[in-house]
Parts: sequence; C-alpha cells; structure tokens
Amino acid sequence: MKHLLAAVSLLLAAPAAAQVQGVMLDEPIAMPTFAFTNELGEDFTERDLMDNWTIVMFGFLTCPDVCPFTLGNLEAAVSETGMRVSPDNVPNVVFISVDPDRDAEQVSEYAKFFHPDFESFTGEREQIDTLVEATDSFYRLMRPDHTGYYEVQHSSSVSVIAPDGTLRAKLQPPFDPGLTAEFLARLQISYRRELTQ
Amino acid sequence: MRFPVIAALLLPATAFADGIRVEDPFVPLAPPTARVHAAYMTLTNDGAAERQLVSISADGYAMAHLHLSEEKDGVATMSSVDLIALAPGQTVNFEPGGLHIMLMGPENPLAEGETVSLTLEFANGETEAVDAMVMPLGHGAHEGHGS
Repeated sequence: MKHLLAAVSLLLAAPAAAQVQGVMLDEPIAMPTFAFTNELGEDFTERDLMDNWTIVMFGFLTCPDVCPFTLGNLEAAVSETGMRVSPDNVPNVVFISVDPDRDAEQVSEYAKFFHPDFESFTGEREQIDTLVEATDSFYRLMRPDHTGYYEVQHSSSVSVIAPDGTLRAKLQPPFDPGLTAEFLARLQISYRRELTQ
Repeated sequence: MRFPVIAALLLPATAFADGIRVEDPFVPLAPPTARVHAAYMTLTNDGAAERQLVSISADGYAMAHLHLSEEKDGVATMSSVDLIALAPGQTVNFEPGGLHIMLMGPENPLAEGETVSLTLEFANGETEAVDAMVMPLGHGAHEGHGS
C-alpha cells in the first residue's frame, strides 16, 4: 500500500504533469475475497477478476456530474484500448455503488447505459469497505440535509486489476481516451514481460 | 433573429437578464434510472455591471442547484454554490468535472433531442430562460471541452 501512496503523492506534487493518465504500482497488490450483487441477481466476486483485465470504479447513482462523466470517458478509453490490444485483453468495466441504501434496487442499469458490457453492482457495507480499502480507494457518505438527501465523496481515480487478480494501476481523471488507452496498452506489455521473466 | 425581438415586445422587460449571454446549454443523456441529471453552459456578462446568478429552476425536476465538483487529493467532492458573480466581460464555464447545474428528481428519463427548460435567476430579480439540449456527452469528451 505504501508504494501506491508514494506514487500517488508524487503525482499530486507534480500538477504540471496534467496529462498523466495513470499510475503503475511498484508492487502488485493482492485482492481479498469479496461479493457484490445487483437487483438482477448477477454477482461480482474476486473470481471474476481472474483471466481478464478489470477496471473497478466506485461511485453512486445520485451523482450528477463526476460519475457519468467518468463512465462516459471510460467507455471511450476502453473502445480506444480495443484498437491497441487483443480482444481478450480489453478490460471489463465494473461500477460499484458505495450507496446501497439508495441504489440497490436499480444499480444494474447504471453502467450498462454507457456500454452494454459495463456492469454495476453494490453490496453489504462490509464488502464495499473491503474492496475500497484493498484498492486504496476512498468514499464517505456525507451528513444528510433536512430533506434526508446526502452527498457522497469518492475517489476520482479507478483501479486496474490484472488477469492474475492483483491491483496493478490507477487511472486518473480526465481519462483522456487516447492517453488512457496508451497507458493500458503499456501496462499490459509490462505485465506480460513480467510473466515471462 | 426576428423571434427574440417579438418575444421581447410581448414579455415584460424584466423577464430578461440584460446583458447575460448563454452559449451551448446542454444536458448529457443519463441512465434511465439516474435520479439526478446535470446541465452545462457558458455564461458571459456582456453588460456594464456585475451580475450575480443566485438560483436556477428547471421544468420537470423537483429541484435544481448550482454545484461545483472538485477533486481534492484524489477525492471527487461536490459542494453547493450559493452565488456566481459575473464581472462585466467575464465568462464562466459550466463543464463536466467542474461547475454544473444539478437537476434533482427528474419526472421523466431524458431522451436525446429533447430540451430541458431552465430559468436562471439573478440577484437583481431578473431571470433568463434557457433551453438546454439533451445530447450524448460524446466520445472522448474532455474536461474543458464542454462548449
């Protein structure tokens, strides 16, 4: 975890490098067991991370600006990636709502809207916290106002998990499609190189 | 250009926010189950006096708020904005990842090609009606390319 924090703070310390689209971790981080679901009865567990690339994003459905913008850009970035890597290596995109109280009944539709292959889940608070922590992500449910409405803060970056089920990188906003695709393609090359060593 | 002139004659003069130029108002398409939408636009104060945008209302929504998304230490945060001051000649961009109008509690899902009717309300009591076009956010939409 320390390596990731170092890399991220380095990035923050260099705002001039605004075009950096991602950070590769020095050391892969193993993922814990977890289980998410949606109202269609589909599930997402650590087993779904194996043998394919996965991009995990945390968000919430009452998110007017950042979540749709991120998913829209990820759609463009993943479709660009599809032109640079083999079909088997095109990442799956998984949206996890950190707001199950409001979202559990209709979460499945959300990411699908941006691409039919994108999936959305939510789950028990404990499961959410497990994956949030394991991916060095963050969220916080804010205090409700007088109407009961509350906002949610969450990491703006998304996590990239390799086919061996380990966290390998973080993608950062603004998720420029071309640069993000380039970053993902490079990440995959270094991953394969590591496997053959 | 004939229509705005006629409209100006038919409506009370105070219905217009004098000197405020609104460009490219749009509402990105959102998932049908989304409980919030966002509207973006560019506002320019072409007048000689400072203007303060203090609230927004939107037809077909329970509420509309001025909001600012910010990224602080890698965390996306949102906060309410009470007022947007526009100095003479100043342009303010509402754009994804930044200032936006949060449209809460839609009565209906969005459909491409429709418009959302917004009313901008200014501190001096003037209002400005804006029709925002519903459209896809677009492939490769970047921050700063909102207009």
